[in-house]
Amino acid sequence: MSIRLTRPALALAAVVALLALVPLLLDAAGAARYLPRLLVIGLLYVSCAVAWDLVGGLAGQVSFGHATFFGVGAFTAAILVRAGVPLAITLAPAAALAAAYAALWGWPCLRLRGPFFAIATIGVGEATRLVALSLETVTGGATGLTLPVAGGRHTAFYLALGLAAIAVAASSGIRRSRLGLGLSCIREEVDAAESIGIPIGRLQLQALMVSAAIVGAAGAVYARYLYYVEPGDVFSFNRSIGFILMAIIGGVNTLWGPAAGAVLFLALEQVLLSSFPSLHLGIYGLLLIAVMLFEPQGLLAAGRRLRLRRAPQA
Amino acid sequence: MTRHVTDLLRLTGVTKDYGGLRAVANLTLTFDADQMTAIIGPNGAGKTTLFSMIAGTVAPSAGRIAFRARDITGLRPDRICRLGIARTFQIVRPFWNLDVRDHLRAAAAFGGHRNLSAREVNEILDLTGLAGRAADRPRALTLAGCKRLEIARALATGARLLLLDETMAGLTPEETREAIALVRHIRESGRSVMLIEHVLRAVTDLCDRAIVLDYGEVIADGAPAGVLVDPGVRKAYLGED
Repeated sequence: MSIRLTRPALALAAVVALLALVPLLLDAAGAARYLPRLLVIGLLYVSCAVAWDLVGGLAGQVSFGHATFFGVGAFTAAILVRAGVPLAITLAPAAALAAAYAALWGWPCLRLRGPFFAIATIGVGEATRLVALSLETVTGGATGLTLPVAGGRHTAFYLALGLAAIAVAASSGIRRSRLGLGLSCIREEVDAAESIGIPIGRLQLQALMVSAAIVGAAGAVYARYLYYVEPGDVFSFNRSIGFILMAIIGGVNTLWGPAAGAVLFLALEQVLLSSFPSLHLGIYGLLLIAVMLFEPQGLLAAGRRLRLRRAPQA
Repeated sequence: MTRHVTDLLRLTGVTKDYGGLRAVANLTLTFDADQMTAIIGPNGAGKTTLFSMIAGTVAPSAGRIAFRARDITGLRPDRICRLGIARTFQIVRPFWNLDVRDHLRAAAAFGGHRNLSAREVNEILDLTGLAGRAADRPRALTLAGCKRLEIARALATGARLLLLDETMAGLTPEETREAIALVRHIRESGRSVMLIEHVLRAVTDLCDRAIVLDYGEVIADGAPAGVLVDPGVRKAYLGED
């Protein structure tokens, strides 16, 4: 057991340590600002995809409403920073408010199962976006809010890195916990899970709230990074879809799959947005179909299969 | 009504209507902890509905259900399980992507047993004939194996009362013999068992009491040997006239 415990932890520590060196190397090389931007966004995507998978993968309830948490976190941070609160201190309230918002809509919606839950979350996501757009005194409406520029050059990067590490550690910890076992049973066979004493609603709500807290904190870092938040961006339906695509492309209900999917999604987004700005959603759709058809367990599973196929020849 | 100390389960006027259809009609029954009871009757007689009401998955339209002198009517299934009632499903419902040991771990972690020791898990695996299959997923098991897994999972919750819904259905004669032995073992380990069963040999071999339901009503209640020769029962159940 202890070996299984330490292996993901070691892998995580190694990846984090390597990534922590990147800004220093870039500074030394005098690189353009483009790559650090990708790194920050990529790490936020990793955090969100890993967090989404706790609900969509582990608990088996596909949420189309995770942008609500991202937006709540982003606006919480923006409003607090504008009031003079240092950014690092805004992460906790951003996470807490996102978790509270998860409790608010999760409590009724989690009574629904499968596609009914998914459809309800689409409604929640769109309703939240429209409310945020109309609450001009709080969110600035369609204009959004601008944040004062402050902090070191690499603050957002290190916050995003820390958050991604926390997300992976939380996912790994939950998957090995009593909560993770209970969520697995719910995902596999909800009536049987209930029949052995598993409180369905409570466990799913716990997973949703943990997931929301991470996504909310990611929203806060995003606000700090752009110095600008706008409801149409942070609450957008495409953002929710993005989290789902990342997890599915990489491998639903795995520790590293959503992280890998997030990196691939980011790379695709860069290529597609610059080359085919009007087609990029269609291409995601094709990719999704390809993954579902040929490797429903995601790219990590495909990679494992290739290794296995090659192994006998070696 | 006399109140026994051994009263395990008491149904008072329990009724279930589905629209205009009365699936279970005004049942008033008392079950002792040391009796093994079979619920029998033709298809559609309301047997599984009765189990579902006891286990909490279906709410009665009227009446009360008390378990160990505590009213459990309307409680959620997970709550009822933690109070000590576990069921199996007529159509097996394993956790397909979890191995056998994880089924038991989950049942123990949430069923009220909390920390089932590794030794206790192994005892349940031995008892249910799954000792060599702990690392297997349900897909690798036969139907009989899946049915034993249902029982093992229910046992691991630490329940005092097991509701076994057609555990013998679809088994070969040899598997049925093993299943009867298993249920007898469970009873000897001090737990109470109620079963829905069409395999009449299991009923006569195992049970002290048989309750025959037809159209949601009790048409006979007593020792299996007497109940099964009752003319009314033979007519309802076996279609004799």
